[in-house]
Amino acid sequence: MTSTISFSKLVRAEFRQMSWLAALQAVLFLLLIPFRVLMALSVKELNALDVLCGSMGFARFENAPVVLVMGGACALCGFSYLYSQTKLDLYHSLPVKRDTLFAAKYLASFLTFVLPFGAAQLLGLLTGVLYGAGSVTLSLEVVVCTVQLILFFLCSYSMTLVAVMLTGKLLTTVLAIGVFGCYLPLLIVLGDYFVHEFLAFCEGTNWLWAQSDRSLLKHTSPWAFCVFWGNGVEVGRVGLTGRWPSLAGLCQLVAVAVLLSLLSLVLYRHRKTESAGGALAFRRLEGVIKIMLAVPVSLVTAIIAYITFYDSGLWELVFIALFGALFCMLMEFIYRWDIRQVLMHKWHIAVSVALALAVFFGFRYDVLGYNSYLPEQDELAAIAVREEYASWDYPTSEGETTRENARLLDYLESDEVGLLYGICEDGAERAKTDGVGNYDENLRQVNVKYCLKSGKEVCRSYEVDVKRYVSGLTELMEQDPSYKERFYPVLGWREADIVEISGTFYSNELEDLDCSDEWCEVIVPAGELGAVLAAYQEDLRTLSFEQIYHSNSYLGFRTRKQAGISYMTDCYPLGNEFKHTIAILKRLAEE
Amino acid sequence: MIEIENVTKQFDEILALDHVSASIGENCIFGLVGTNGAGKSTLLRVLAGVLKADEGEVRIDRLPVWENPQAKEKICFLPDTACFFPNATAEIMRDYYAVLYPRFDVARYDEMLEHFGLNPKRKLATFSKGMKKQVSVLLGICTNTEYLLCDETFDGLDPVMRQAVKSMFAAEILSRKFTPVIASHSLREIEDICDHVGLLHKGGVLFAKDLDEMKLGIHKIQCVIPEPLLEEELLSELPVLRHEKRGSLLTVIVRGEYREIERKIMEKQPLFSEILPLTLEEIFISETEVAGYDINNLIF
Repeated sequence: MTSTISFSKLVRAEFRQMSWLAALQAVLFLLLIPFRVLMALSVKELNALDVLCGSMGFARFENAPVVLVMGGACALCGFSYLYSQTKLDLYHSLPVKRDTLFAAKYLASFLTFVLPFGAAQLLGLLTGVLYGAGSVTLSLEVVVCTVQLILFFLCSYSMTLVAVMLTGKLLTTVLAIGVFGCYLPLLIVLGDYFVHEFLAFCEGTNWLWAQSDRSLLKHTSPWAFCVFWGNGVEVGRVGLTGRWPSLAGLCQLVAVAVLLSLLSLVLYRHRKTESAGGALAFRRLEGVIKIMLAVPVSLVTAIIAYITFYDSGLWELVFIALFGALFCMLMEFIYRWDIRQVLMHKWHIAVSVALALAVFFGFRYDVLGYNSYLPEQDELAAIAVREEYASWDYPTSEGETTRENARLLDYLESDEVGLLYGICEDGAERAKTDGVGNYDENLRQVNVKYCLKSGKEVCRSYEVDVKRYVSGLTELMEQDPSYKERFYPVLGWREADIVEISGTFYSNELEDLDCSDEWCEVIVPAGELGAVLAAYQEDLRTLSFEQIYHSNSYLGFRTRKQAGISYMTDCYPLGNEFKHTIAILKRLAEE
Repeated sequence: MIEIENVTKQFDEILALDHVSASIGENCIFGLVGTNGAGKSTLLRVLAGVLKADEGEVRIDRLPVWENPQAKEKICFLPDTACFFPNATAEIMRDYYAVLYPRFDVARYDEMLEHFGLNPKRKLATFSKGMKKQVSVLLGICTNTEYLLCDETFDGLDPVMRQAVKSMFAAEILSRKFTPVIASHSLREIEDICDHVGLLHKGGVLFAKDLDEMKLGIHKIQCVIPEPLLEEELLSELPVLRHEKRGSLLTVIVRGEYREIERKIMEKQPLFSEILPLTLEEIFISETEVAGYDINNLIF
């Protein structure tokens, strides 16, 4: 560090200044860990080792939020001198480099957490040992859990440090912490809403923020990473107290902590001493930050107007302009702390509102023509078209739900481009003139995949005229019977593939079935499964797509794969034209 | 030696220091004077390495100050408002300074606390403003650094303490290499302690000179010359910086050699004549007027 001043002495001196924080944390963690273990162990009927396993290690994951809060608190306390010009006069005139001072402060604040926390974990374990619940595996798990929580602490600590370095007073630091913690996750939620609401988006029907493993969301902020911990690759095998963290997970935590710590050091080096007391340490960022926050806020208010006033363009515009301007003024007030200066940077308001308007109305009116995209017919090598809601499964690989549509379209791909192009043309034209989200009984939502000759694949979702859709597919199935085989997987099944055929039929829908009552239910006996399947396949092959499509009833097939899953049945169309099938079902209904 | 070379410092739209250049020699007491907002505190902060100059450089004994612990070990900065840790006592502050300044004289600090009647175990937050200043000065002196940068240090000290601190500075200069740089807005405050002065105005140094040198070339004379014609002759013959007549008493501030001035006055057969000591304020008035400034607008 320096030639004459001992770094360890400096850390000790800094630690002494923060001993009150260490004492507070010691009380908190003693109550949270060993005291709780002691209380649990005092219940004599329970096995001591079971109690200890339930009280310590990975089982006590609720300690994580406390650790995250402490990370923020330690960083704020350790570096609060950056808000005071008087304190900076002292610290920055000392004969140490700023890097050294940063490192000493960083370490001292870290020690105020790690010493009481480590001691509390150890005491908790020793309490268990005193009750005869010692276990090497458990001890190891407590050690690993301690390391994991210390890394959580460092993530939160270093994120708060970045916020401290960027700001000049406590209020803006707290706001900055909120922004770092929540901005990107909320932006993803907002983006997702726009994509799903305004774009005929067929590639990923699932919402990104609602992914089961939160893979995208948890990489948007250190808080999100820690809060959504345990839903992905970061956890490994199951141990005595819960799931162990994987090495990859721990490495990710280390990387986050190191990167953010280095960033805060770089910011500290470049931070001017005189920025203490101001809202932001780097005043050039004022406008950028204001606009970055004002635009999403305006978009949220526009969505509220969009939902509340049922698609009123005027109210959306008013909300964006009004709340965008108000938010900019609020930000300016936070920056200057002077209400007379809220209109100081009018161009910030103008840019924010303009950007929000561009984004909102750009999406809303599909300015870039995403929804009405239609390649030239001669550019296409193949097309796949399918109705959005099919009531039967296709034999595509399972597991990856976000690409379900794309996989189905891969399966239904056809090189009879001319026959399907008309359907797409109709959809694209309708998107251009009427937009999307028009709920009309004469329209059908179809997903389309274009395979271009260049090798590129493009997916879209259109609303098409039902007659155009039916006639297109009818013609295609007549010219290419193999397409029909793919379109209706039931055509390829054998008796051994199914375990149940059943249906509930209404007399007004299937007159030929001659139901004595208003409706009748038929469950095909096991011995008749083959006969019903064969009859249905014969009918399906004979009838045109148009005839099949207009059938108004359904026959349920449960495959061997679906056996045991009560809610899973493939429902295929059934109408009065299905003569062979109706005949058998009629016989079975009578029996 | 402290060398200030072309230092500029700007806070947003405010130009606090505008290409300041000066040098402060060793073993002298340097007074940095100027009106409020002249840039004295900013200059001291730049000298202490607290602020980074936008342009130019400050060197202490040829070492650049900015981010240089070797140079900063030679200085101790006593800001206008003393900073102590929350709940700290004089003892706690001593221990902290002892870690940061290897030559900190703990025994002397304890002794001086006792001498000044300051309780080392009492919380500094309960001390009066003047007492806090005393602790701050004691900490600064006991660091045993070569340079002590004092920002308005005498402000808040009672006259006895002021004198005591001045005596301590003098004693330090005699016993070791020690150069206090004292910034103040009051000329009278530092008049009797500084041997070098620098005048700062609107972010620029008007001049920095040895006080005795300045005094040697400027004289204040009061005389009564009965003949108005002779009086007019005298004023035209002498390089008069400023003159004032009250009744028959003529007061003149003149630049030049003392014997020559005396001879010219005697030639005019005055009824009475006397050479008076110049105050620092009068020196500044005459010097700055020469530099083209109306000093009455600068110094109060």
